[in-house]
Amino acid sequence: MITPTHYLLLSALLFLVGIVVVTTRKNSLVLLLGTGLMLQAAGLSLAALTSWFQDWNGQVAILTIAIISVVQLTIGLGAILTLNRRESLARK
Amino acid sequence: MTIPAFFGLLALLAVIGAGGLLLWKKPAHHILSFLGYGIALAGLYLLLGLPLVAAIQLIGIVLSNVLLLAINVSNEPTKADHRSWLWAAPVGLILLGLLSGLIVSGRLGEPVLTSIPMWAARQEPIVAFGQELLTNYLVLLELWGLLLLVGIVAVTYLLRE
Repeated sequence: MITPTHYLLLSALLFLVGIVVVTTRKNSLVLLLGTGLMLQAAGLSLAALTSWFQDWNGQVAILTIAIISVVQLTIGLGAILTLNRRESLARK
Repeated sequence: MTIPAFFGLLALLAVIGAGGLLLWKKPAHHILSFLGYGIALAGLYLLLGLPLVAAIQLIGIVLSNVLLLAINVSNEPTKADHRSWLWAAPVGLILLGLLSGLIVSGRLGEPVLTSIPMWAARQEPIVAFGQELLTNYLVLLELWGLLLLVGIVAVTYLLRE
């Protein structure tokens, strides 16, 4: 039987991978994806405990995390594109 | 397939997707592995009996990753590699089969942790959660919309010419 422990361990592993991605990679897009990875891993642990304790607050927190993750990805991508554009203009 | 088998497959897919960010070199491969990671997480939310969260996760992750892919492809034009269909098509079919199996088996709303009867006793959990959102969490719902609006305005301002 699958218990919350399985989900929490998986969430911890994914969060650890996210930390390694953020600390070792230099590409800005990969950094963005790494932070998104960590956010989603935290959401998974919340989901496991929400299902266990049957608390609506958990689902609300997961949705908040998902929305923040999408917004940070979008704004981060916009910032990266703007910086790349300015860099290419400066080289010319 | 049993639920532990589904959990094992989805967990493996999530770990492979996360590990792809470390192993792959090209940005397009990073985006694809993150997409696989997001889809695996949506499947795990389904196993936990959270279909609304899974749906929003799918919509958010898929849309944002498709956008990333489109921008990346437009910035780095490369020759088409027709050999990639050899491995991409089976992977896509396996993912589709997993999701279809979950839907057909009727386990979408079935929580994994069935030892607690209150959760399983809810007849329509999505309707109940929707009512909660529109009553007790209305301010938070409006704040979500405001956050998304701020994101859209910020990106529009950043990418203005």
